Amino acid sequence: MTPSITYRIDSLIQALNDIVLPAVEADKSLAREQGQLVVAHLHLMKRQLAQADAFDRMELDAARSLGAQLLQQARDDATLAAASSSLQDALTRSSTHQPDLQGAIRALNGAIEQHVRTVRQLAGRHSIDAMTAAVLAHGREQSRRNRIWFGGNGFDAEQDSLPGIDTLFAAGQ
Amino acid sequence: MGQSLSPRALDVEPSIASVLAAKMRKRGSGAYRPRSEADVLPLLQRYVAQQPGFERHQVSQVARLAGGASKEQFRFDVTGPDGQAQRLVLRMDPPESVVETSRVREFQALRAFEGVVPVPRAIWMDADGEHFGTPALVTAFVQGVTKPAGAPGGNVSGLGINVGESWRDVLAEPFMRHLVAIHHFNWRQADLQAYAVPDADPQQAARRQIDWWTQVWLEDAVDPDPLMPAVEGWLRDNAPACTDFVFCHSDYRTGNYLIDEGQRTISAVLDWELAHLGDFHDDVAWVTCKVFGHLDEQGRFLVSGLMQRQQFLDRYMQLSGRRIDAKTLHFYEVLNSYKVCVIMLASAYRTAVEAHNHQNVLQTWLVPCGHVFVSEVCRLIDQGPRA
Repeated sequence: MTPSITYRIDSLIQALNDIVLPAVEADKSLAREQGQLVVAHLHLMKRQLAQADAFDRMELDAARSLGAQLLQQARDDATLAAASSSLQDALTRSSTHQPDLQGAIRALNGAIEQHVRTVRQLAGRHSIDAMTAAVLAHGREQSRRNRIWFGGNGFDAEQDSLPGIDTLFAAGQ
Repeated sequence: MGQSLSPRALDVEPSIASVLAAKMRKRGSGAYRPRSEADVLPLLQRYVAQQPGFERHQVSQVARLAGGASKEQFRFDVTGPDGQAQRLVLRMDPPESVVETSRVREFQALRAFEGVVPVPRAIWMDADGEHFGTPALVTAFVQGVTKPAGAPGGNVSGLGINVGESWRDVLAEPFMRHLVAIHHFNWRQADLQAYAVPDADPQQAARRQIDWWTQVWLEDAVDPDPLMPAVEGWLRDNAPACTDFVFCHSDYRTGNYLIDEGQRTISAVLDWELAHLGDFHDDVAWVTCKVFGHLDEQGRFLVSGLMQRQQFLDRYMQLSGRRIDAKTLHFYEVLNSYKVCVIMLASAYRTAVEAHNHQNVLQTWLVPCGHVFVSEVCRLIDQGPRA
């Protein structure tokens, strides 16, 4: 038997809080601040640990959905037909089994980001507006997901209005 | 990331472009080992001894400073043969940080604003890192705190500081007056050679800011994000004209000034590293950024933790005699949110990935803050200018 990652994180937090940080001299302010940040990171990682893969799958699904929507828009615009093949290829690759989820998200979002730049350069106003609306809608959902996922890091003035991590996954299923 | 838009096509101020180029030359150079106090002491001793009038001075009491998310800072004492000591601050560039900026620009800004608003006196500069191995600046040490004793809260890096009810009225007026003084400053008569005037065409002031932060996104992004070029496009479509250039501090907020608790006033305006010549709406919009404020005891949002948004805008217009244009303010609110998305989601993340900073643990803590700004930029574009 080996101790679970959760218990190991708990023991790291305890060591830092009870032994290491009290031993740091009061005037070593940067050392104290970084020690406290390590504790805060560990608490957050502990909350995220069990659902990290599920979160990445949600991110990949959302990117696929946006990619497919932009591809559909491009099919309706003759100026974009040829320029959309990279996005089509990336979407096709993303639908196969992906052991490296973060790598898959990065690859697909890279292709979508490039496609957005292409639309800005080649397309007319109607297509640019449609693309922008789709990307902003995606951005709203993505940022909400990430604000829930990283809730508790203290930067979000509206944190109290966001649900907890578990609620996020219950809603996503 | 394979972007088709080459950074070379972007119009970035020459002295900023030079700093960004230096950053890229250091890319992939391996993990940075932060300087210790013991490393810094002999460097400082030799440097101080080279300064005219300081040949026989001694350096002591070197201590690392917390605060800020970008530069490595140490305070130290310099004592002359007569036993007189003065406390100074060394501010050095790590290989990369959350914002890549020029010590020459910062030095010139601090010198220019001495006597205009309270600033730490800029004393010496190692512009090219000839002595310290990295660009560095020495300033006077100013007594003060960014958060008064007993203040209710705030995050690392001075974001969202709540100074408490008893301090708000005390700080609000000097906060306003210093901002207006910065904008009234006659920069044309100051030695600000590192700053370029964005007067090639009426949109250049706005375009240069878009180009600056777009170049940083293209260079620093670890994870691509389709939202960024979409927002960049919105900004290009909506760039306002500006012909009345002011000196913009560009990071003016609670957390970036020191409070003298005894005198109950602002003792120094800090963090001039992002300063540039541009549109006053740029600074006004920055002050109103959500992440720099918080809700008060009645649940009302206070900009920079000091006053309600409309109070701030009204007081600014009253003191400055300038008229705030709602559409231009909205543009700069979107631009500033875009800029913070770049800083948090790209540069902070990249700095940690490269292990190029003495505060990598802070950089990774800051990255998710970018998502608050993604929400904000979407909300701002949807909502449009406020009347």
